[in-house]
Amino acid sequence: MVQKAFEIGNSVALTIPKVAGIKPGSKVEFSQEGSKLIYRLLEHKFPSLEMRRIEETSGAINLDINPNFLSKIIKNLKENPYDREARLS
Amino acid sequence: MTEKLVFLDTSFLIASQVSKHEFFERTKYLRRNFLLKQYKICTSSIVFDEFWYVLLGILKTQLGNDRNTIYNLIQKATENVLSMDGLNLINIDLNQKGLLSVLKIMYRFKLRPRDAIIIKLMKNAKIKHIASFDKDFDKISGILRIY
Repeated sequence: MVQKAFEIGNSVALTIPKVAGIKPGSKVEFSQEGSKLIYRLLEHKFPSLEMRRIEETSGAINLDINPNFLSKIIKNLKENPYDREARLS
Repeated sequence: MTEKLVFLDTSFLIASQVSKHEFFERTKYLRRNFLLKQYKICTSSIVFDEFWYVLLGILKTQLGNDRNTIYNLIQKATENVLSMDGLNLINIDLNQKGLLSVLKIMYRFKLRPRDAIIIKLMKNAKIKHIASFDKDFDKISGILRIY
């Protein structure tokens, strides 16, 4: 695979298209030709079964909603008369 | 050796199931840490009162009165929580002395009844950690909030 690279100081930054299928934790070997970085995938670090289970049991509710608006909804729900009054304060 | 136990509070469970929640990714990170550090996770049926209440509120705001869709989404969220690996539901039974103790906790820490019951259940089960985004639990002596 050949990919354009951008050097920043001692680091090299690049964007990898999703179709390359490289996941976080993947190990790659690379070399450079001019401004191009050539990398070869050595191994995928697949998440463990436990980590996959965490993903599978998260996020049942995926709404198209602004996170700030969501926070406001939750805050309003918690400021109901029961929650305001049900304290000995 | 004492078991390392952590109680999953309502705010944690809600954040874990609503993908646009500000703490959604945080719940996954914390669950990974619980696994790595061999914490056992537990919760109680009492948290589902607020869990369902908040999810219903969010979903009604977004979906109106689409009863079937709302039911299906809440069912999936509930199944997800109940399927969390190693989750243990702790016994909610409190006797007369236990209930009066809950009232004392409410008075001492200015907690809501539900939160005071959670603290009492945790004390009974010798659970010292609570995974919660609710700062109210910070003032409870002997309880450490993980967030």
